[in-house]
Amino acid sequence: MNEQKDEKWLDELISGSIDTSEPKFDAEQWKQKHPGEFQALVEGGAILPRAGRFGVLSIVMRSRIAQVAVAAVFMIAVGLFIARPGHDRQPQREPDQWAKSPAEMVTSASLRMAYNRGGMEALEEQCDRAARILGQGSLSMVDLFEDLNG
Amino acid sequence: MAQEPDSGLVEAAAYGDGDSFTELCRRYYPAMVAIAHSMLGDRHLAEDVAQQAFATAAVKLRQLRQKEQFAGWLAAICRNEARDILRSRKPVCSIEDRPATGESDENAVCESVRAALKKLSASAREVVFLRFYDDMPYEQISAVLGISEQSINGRLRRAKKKLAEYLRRDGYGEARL
Repeated sequence: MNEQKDEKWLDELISGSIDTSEPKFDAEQWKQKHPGEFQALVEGGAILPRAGRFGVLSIVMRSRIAQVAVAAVFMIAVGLFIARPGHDRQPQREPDQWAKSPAEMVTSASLRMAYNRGGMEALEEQCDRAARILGQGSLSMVDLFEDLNG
Repeated sequence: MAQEPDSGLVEAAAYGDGDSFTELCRRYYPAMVAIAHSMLGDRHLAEDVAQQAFATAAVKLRQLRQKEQFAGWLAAICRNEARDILRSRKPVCSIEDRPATGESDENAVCESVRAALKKLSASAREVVFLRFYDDMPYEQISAVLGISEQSINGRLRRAKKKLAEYLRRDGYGEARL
């Protein structure tokens, strides 16, 4: 008996010993059996482009050099933010912004704020402004205090 | 659709095309059943495992970076599913699709073949099952195992030689093998 015939006989033996008929895939049955997984596949596809963008970012961020560069840029940005001119200063505001009427302009809080802002000059200027609004253009701060104190 | 390469179908499926995914399932179902069958020795259980592998693949498909390696990736999932079954229950390593009564010579030979198949290494048994599942083409076996057709041929030849040797030791086919 030659080798080819022996091999054929062995092939027949194997085929006859185990069920090797082609299995058929039933898609509908599978979907019913695994609805969650199929739904995840179909619905998850809609967010794929977004995931792809982050995928690119994650690939870039795998590089150690990229990580160090990002860390350096972040630290420089924080340093520049802290050291920028006028970072710790309060924004200058005109007295009109917080004192709308002459009465408000001469309250103790308002006057204190004016003094803090520009010393006696600012205080006097605010009083003059209050007096101008009241129609007494020539009234000085001293006159105003005298008037207020009787 | 049947002629479309795997990578195109995988790409479409990853974008939520269910039909592309079921086409992939249809294409690789016999191979996955063969792999699970070679490990579990139970055809019906193998079909369940293959279907579970597709379910896992559906969830994890977007993690697959090299779309052209879908078949190998799916086979790895299928093996893991089969291993989980083996771990979680008493191994069903007996290849007993066709119960032998032991009455006839034919059945006795079949029993010996099944016993010989059990003695083969997992990779050798896998290639035998893949090849014998409805004469699966070498091209598909190559895609699933990730090895060349020449390597498959060599592995299959060695597996058959071993099988013949085991059968000879059992006293079967002495005249022919």
